[in-house]
Amino acid sequence: MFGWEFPPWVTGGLGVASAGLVAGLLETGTEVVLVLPHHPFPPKHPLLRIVDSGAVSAAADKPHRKRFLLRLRRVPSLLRPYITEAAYQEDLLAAARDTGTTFRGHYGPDLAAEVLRYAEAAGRIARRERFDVIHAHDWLTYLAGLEARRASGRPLAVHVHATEFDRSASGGNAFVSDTERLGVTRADRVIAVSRYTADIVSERYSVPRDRLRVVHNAIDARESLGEWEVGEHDPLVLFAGRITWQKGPQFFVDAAALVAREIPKVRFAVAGSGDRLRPMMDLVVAHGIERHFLFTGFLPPAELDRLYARADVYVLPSVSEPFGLTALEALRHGTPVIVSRNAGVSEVIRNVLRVDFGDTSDLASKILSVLLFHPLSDALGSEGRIEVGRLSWKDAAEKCLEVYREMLREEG
Amino acid sequence: MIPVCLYFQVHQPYRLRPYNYFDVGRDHRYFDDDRNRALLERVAEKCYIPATAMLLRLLERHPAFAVSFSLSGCLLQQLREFAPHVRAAFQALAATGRVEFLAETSHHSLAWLASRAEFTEQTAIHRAQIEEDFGVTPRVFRNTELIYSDELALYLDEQGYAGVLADGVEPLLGPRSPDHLYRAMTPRGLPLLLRDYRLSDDIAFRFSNRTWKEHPLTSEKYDRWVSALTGDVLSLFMDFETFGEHQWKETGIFQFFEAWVELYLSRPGARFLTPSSAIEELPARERLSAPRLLSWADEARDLSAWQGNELQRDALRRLFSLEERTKASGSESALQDFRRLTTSDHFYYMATKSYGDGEVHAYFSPFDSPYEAYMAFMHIVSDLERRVAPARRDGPRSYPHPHPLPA
Repeated sequence: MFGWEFPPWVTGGLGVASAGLVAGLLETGTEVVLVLPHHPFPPKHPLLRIVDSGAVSAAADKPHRKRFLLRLRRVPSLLRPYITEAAYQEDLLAAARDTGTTFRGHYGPDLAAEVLRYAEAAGRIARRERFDVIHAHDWLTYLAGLEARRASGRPLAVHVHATEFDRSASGGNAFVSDTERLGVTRADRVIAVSRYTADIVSERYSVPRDRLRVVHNAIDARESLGEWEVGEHDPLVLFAGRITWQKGPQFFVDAAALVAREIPKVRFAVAGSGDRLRPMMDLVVAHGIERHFLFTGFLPPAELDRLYARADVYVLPSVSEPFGLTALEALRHGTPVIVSRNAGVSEVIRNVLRVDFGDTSDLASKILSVLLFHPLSDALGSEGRIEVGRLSWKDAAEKCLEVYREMLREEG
Repeated sequence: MIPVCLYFQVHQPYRLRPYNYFDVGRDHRYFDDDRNRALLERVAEKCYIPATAMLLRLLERHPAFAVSFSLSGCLLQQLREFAPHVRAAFQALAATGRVEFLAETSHHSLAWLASRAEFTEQTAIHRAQIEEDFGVTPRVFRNTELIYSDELALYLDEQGYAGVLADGVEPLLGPRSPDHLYRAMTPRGLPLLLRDYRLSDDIAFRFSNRTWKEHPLTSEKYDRWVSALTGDVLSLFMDFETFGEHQWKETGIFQFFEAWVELYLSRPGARFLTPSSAIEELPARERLSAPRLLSWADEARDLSAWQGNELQRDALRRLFSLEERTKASGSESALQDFRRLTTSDHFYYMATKSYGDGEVHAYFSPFDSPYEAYMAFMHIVSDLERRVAPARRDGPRSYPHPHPLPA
């Protein structure tokens, strides 16, 4: 499996989802050779546990058995989830300056070259390892998956967590979409995180339906979440995740302005970072509602958990949302959720409020409704929490296993 | 042959339009006139016109055929506005003299659960509507969705009704058969006519269900079942919309029903009774007790379809908290809106039952989810509240169950 480390880059769902799936597969007794890009300087946070000696995720409950089933192969690389050319160049510069570390100057000169270099390394690993099927997560590893297939002759499933059409208004970067097209059209099976995403893959990349499968993301219960000491009673509305065009931060701020007029004590917390953070702050100032806003920046998981627990409502007004794992995180804390109608998560969870992302009046009305009507917030929180409790990564892993078996049957 | 008592519920609510927080205080139009008209026209074409024509044929052909209706006041009012030809079709049925119209609330409402005063007023309005449209006074009572209890029976008995309808469910009957005339648990023993839910639902719910082991249901098969019964009266109660709407005409529901009536009436002694004639002619058996409220809805046959969750209970409480103020305001339009909001359908759409029943609720609901239904209703009630009890201009915004904001 070509996956991603968990957690260091928890700014998005990809690392969480691929690690969750690995944990689920191990739980079913499946052997996994996990290939990860090993970044020379992952972000340092006191609460982060970086994948090592089989400790794949916090959900691991039988670590010894898992260590046995899991073989970890790391490839030194600057690849990380959601990386863009600009961010890659920054990392490359930083790596060049970082002379005291493992840096050998062998990274690709640009993102495309680095993706290809990673694919070559994948081919070398595939020739050495023994395995039945190949599973690659998101476009950065599709070429690695294809190369591994060429080297081993084993069938390949690519897992689409997002497409370039979700990330960008204008169809995005040509190299990204070309790589994505290559991956989804050449793979033996394409696993999408939602029917919504499967439809996009089918329509935009002309992938035949009989090769497409949907495996929704899941979430596993954690033992203790820890209640935050609530120092104040002001209603709190939360936005968390990457602050990018895709996530619709401007709609959140426009709706917040309408809500703030009705409930003077309301507070809005924005947890996360991204290329739209600055424009988002500018918009808050333009609306004159900065005293209602708290920008926390990137938060380590434990602090983010406390924020989910404290929030009265979680809002995910994405323009395009393949899944929306953060909605599950909020519901796990019994926090009511408002999501875009098109979000993949609403294919598995019924107890959420849905909005058209551009309809800020409707979004604001729903935020106000949740804050004003306690029977509504109680029902959304408690029913949603029950629904989320029925999801598990093991079930998602079982569905992937079924896809693997299909590929192996076809192989004969 | 066992006599058959047919009763059809005919009702269409005034469905709400999408209404959000920012409409409160600005827009007093609560009902989706275009949608209500379109839906009424559709159901008229698919059901009311062909189904009344079928019944008229049967009435003209067979002196022993008779039928009864409960026409809700919401429906009668919408027929006046949008479909006078359907109203005329019901009047043509009434002119045969073998069609009974039952008493109920004007707004197919949950008033019995919330306010005795409002319940009494709505039954009086409905009585006047039936008298005006059909020239007859209803005598037998049928509460919204067959909601029934001993307390209701006692009230109806005191009001002088000739009888009452309920669903023939186990909590009421125990091991007894529903196919007799019983008495309610009142001093006088108000006559109580009970729906045979098995044979009713065979037509209303299961007719076109391909996974049902009796599918397809033929008139001959149904006739065999009815012929095998030994009781005093078979009460078949169902939505009139069963014909052509819940069961599409392509399923053969019209041909089935007409053929079955013909077949049944070819048997010696076969005849149809209206509720009033059943009450007059048949011997009434023992008193049956219903200490708790029952209904014909969902699997549970209780109030859970409309009052099963806190959203539904909150909405009903909030609405009726405005009853006195609305009446005291002297605003006819506010009172009309209040009454249209008491209709049971609005609460039905807020049900959060997950499986089985939930699918039926979703089928009927104009809303995306029970939460949407609740929010629209609550914002509308908030607007009504401002109309009947304007907030002080300098005061805080009055809102139902506000979030506890510290001062």
